[in-house]
Amino acid sequence: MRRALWAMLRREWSRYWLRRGDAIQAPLIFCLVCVLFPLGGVPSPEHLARYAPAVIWAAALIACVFGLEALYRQELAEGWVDSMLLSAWPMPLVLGLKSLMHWLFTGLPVVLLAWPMGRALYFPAEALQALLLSLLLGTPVLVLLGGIGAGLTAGMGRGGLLTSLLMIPLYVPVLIFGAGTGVAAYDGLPVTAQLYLLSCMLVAAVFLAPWASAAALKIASESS
Amino acid sequence: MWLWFHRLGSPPSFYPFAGRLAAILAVPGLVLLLHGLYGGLWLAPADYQQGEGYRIIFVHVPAAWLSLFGYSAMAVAAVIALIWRMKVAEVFITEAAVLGAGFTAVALVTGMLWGKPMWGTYWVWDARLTSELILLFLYLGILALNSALEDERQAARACSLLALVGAVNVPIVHYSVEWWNTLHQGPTVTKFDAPAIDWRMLFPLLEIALASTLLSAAIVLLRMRNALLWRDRHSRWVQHMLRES
Amino acid sequence: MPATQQPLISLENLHLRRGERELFGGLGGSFSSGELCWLRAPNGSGKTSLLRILAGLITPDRGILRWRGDSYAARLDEPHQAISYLDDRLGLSRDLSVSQNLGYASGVGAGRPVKDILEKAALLELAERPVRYLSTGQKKRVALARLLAEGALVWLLDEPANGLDTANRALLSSLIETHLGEGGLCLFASHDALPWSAAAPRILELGA
Repeated sequence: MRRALWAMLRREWSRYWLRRGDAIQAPLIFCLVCVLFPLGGVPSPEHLARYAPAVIWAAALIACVFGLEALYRQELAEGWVDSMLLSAWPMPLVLGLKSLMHWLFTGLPVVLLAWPMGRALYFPAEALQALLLSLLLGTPVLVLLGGIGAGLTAGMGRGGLLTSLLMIPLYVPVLIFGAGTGVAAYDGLPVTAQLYLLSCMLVAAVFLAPWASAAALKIASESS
Repeated sequence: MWLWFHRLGSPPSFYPFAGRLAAILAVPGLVLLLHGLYGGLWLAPADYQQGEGYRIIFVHVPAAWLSLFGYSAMAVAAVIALIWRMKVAEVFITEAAVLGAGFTAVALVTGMLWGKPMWGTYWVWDARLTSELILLFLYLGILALNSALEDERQAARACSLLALVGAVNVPIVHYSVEWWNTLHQGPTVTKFDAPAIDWRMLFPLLEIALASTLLSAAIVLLRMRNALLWRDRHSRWVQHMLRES
Repeated sequence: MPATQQPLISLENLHLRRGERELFGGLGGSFSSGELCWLRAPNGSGKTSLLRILAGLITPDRGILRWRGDSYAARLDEPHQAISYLDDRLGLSRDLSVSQNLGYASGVGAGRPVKDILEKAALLELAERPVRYLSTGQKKRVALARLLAEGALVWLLDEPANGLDTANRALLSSLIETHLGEGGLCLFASHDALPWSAAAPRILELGA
């Protein structure tokens, strides 16, 4: 049992590490989008700090959706999805581990980069802590939910915008509570409620999303 | 009971059943609609606050109701489609999504048209309007997925899964938007705040809501018949029917 | 084959519709341990679909599949992976090296030591090379090695000899023989006759 888990983790790690050039694109997009707002608006502290949580979270969403592209397309084309469906291991577990690695390479860098980006947007350091925590809890949810969308569009040649269109309505609650944490922290209000709710969403996503992704991939493999 | 359920799930039995049911629903639906429109547009008095303009609720409220009811029906159908792999249920989801999206759009537009004269603005970020907007995106997502996937069977099953995931999400979205709204907005402006609505307005409103539901059901049934004919176009029962007619 | 032994897989009344074609009008059959079966059929008659149905990847419109007489889901209760499937997609990660791929397949499957598999499949020199840089024939050899690593009871092969030169065909042959000898079952789909060195396959014809 442990051998198999270790083998899966090692494979996912190797795969992402070897393609780290691709994985780095998502965090880069995050930075780019964050930079667009000061450039497009008035770069003064009052203007930017107010909207920093929204900008950072929206950028995180966009980065995540861009990162989803490659989640399953190559695996399906290589026949890995078939192999996994046939293996003795439950597909939701396999996909859960895959999502973990995906997050480590695309989501975690976003969380880390949010610190300099937040400061660049003049967001106060004390409030930034809460915002980062919300990202830490929220970005895994984005990746897990995104797995469902990626699974649904896996067989298609050009998933692209479709995955984003499908995912963004599902991301709205995460955005609301995530950015809401930042806004509340900025106003000096307590953030425990938002963080608890984000944790709830994380737990729910960890247990439910892999099942839905597995179902989606099964549907995709039925027609190949 | 189960036998009836499974028999209905097979396209050859569903096809004639849907035709008959559509006729049974459409006739009272049409009658109720005409009567309701007469009651609402002609008989009901002008509102003391909003004048004649309030009458747009006779379109807005049924549309909003149907957008939500439609999605719930699609969620139930999604469960049936995924567990029992029932083609009829899958077809319901893709056909009802078109109507659902239409009604959501109508609800949003009529809401905007109502908002301008009443409260001076076309759009306001309140809980209900925002949730309705997100519901529109959910519908559009289902339609987009359906048209993007080439294999009909795969498209229908993927849409069922998406509808189900969206349905689980809708209450979460609604709650979070409401929370977000109460935190940032001042007093809400879109509540139907009349202490008690005059029965002369309420009655036609309910009539029209019921009528629209019946008529939409009839339309969806007819669309489903069409879709089943197309999806099963090579099968024996369709060839039989085409030959007989 | 002793008459008292349960067939590993049995089919009854299989129906599948793909577009306008009705494949397998009520196909039935059974397959036992140590058996080699050739699904002989022209292209487009559903060979791939049948293999995928047996693999559990496609659900037939109608029909019953049994694993050792039980429901087909019982195959998931086997100690290790019950079925391996190989088609042109090979089931390998292009970015990883040969030994990484085999290590993964082995770890997730029956846990055979990677070194043994590399030896059996004559891949020792290529062990550290990423699969992406291998030739088609070499990739196919790695894919066959993957089957060894997974150690499943049933091998479902879709056109396994495609793109194989003589040496690789001999390897394929010997791997299948060993597999059958260990009590495995092998079904392969091919539209061509294949020069199998030893085992004479039972032939299952699929109609056009």
